[in-house]
Amino acid sequence: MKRIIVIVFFAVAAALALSGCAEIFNAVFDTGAPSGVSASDGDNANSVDVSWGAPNLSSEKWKGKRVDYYKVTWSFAGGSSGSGTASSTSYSVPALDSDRAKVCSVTVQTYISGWGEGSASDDGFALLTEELLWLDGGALHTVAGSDVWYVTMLQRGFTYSFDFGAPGTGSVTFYDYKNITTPEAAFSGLPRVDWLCNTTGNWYKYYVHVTPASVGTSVTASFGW
Amino acid sequence: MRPIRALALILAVSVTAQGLAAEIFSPWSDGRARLGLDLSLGTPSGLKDVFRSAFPGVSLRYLATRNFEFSLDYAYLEMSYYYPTSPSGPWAGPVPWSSVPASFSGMRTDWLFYQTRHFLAPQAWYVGSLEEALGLPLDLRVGLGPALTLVVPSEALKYYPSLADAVANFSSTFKAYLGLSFHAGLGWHPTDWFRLGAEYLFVVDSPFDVMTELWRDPLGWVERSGNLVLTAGVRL
Repeated sequence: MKRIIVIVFFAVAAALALSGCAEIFNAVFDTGAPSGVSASDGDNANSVDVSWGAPNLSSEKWKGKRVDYYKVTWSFAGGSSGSGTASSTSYSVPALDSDRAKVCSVTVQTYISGWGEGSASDDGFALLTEELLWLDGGALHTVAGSDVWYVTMLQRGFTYSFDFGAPGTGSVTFYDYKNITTPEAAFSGLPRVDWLCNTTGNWYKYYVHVTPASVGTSVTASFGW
Repeated sequence: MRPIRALALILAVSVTAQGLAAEIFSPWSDGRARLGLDLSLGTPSGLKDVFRSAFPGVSLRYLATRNFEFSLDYAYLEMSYYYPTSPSGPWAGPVPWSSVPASFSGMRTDWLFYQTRHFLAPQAWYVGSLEEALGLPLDLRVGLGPALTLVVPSEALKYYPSLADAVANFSSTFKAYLGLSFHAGLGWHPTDWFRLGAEYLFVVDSPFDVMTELWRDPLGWVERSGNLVLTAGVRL
């Protein structure tokens, strides 16, 4: 019977830890982990801002103890990684130009009496964006670098077009605002992209990632229905 | 006027004013001011729209004495829409959704190009009981105060410059941003904590225009410019 109880206990613990319920796991097992770790999603071009809540150390387990510091560890997918310490409940993770638009996994671990205790994580990203304005009759936009990320609002039911001016071609990818992992629509290698917006984005806001095939190509953005 | 008559007049005015002040500032029997919360429904244009459209509102009230109240009234007046007349412009609006072209039908719930209008008014009220006169738990209610009409465009304004131009054009011709509001109506309070009311609300943005219209067509003005407001509320 004891063996069954131990197995069930570990099964529940493993399920909680593996199923993304880290907050619940930390709360149930009183790990001293920071609460509500939040990494910014594209708010800055050169950093990912991380904030969290102090752990609850009111239980008997932590009696008389306090947080020494927090260790912040990060890794950009296919980019740089590093770590730092914070005495308060926020930290700014530096992002190189090459780290932009890459998902950054951030873990914050609590150090109490010199020992590393519980930790919690979140994903964020750094992004350099421009606002994309929709002018009547279309507007020519010059892409200064190899690509550009726009922030804009799109009307469901309208068609949004990007014309690279044949023979020029390019790629256009639409993402919900604050999300660069799952595109709503993606087009590549075309002289002209027409997308009938059939979603509502994140409160109707979107990122539009435009990559001309040749650096310095201009693109005409227009809308219709 | 003879000095004795002038003195009598001053005395009469003084006594009346004192009586009125005493009534207005007569405290509650337990000396404790009341708080109130009213929900309301109003018609955009007097009696013409009673069964056509209505705007919801809410009022927070501070009942300083039996006859004197302060309130902060809020009402969500309307949502109106803009639309591009062609992909190369220009934009039209603000209009009710029923006037938006049929080519956009089915898009209303997701339509980005709109503005909302809100009414905010801190008011002072005189409440006169008609209970003794009529034998019914009725009050005469008169309110007065500044009125602020706010126009809040959607965030899409930022990304569609022609929409921004159309909203700015509307705003430059929209007069009633800051005006004076006047309420007059009846309240019915079957219990100490519950009341129902019917009021007529006028928002005046230009006294000169109002005087001109009142001179020309007083009843028409009342019907066009007033708002019939029905309220239900609690008193604590």
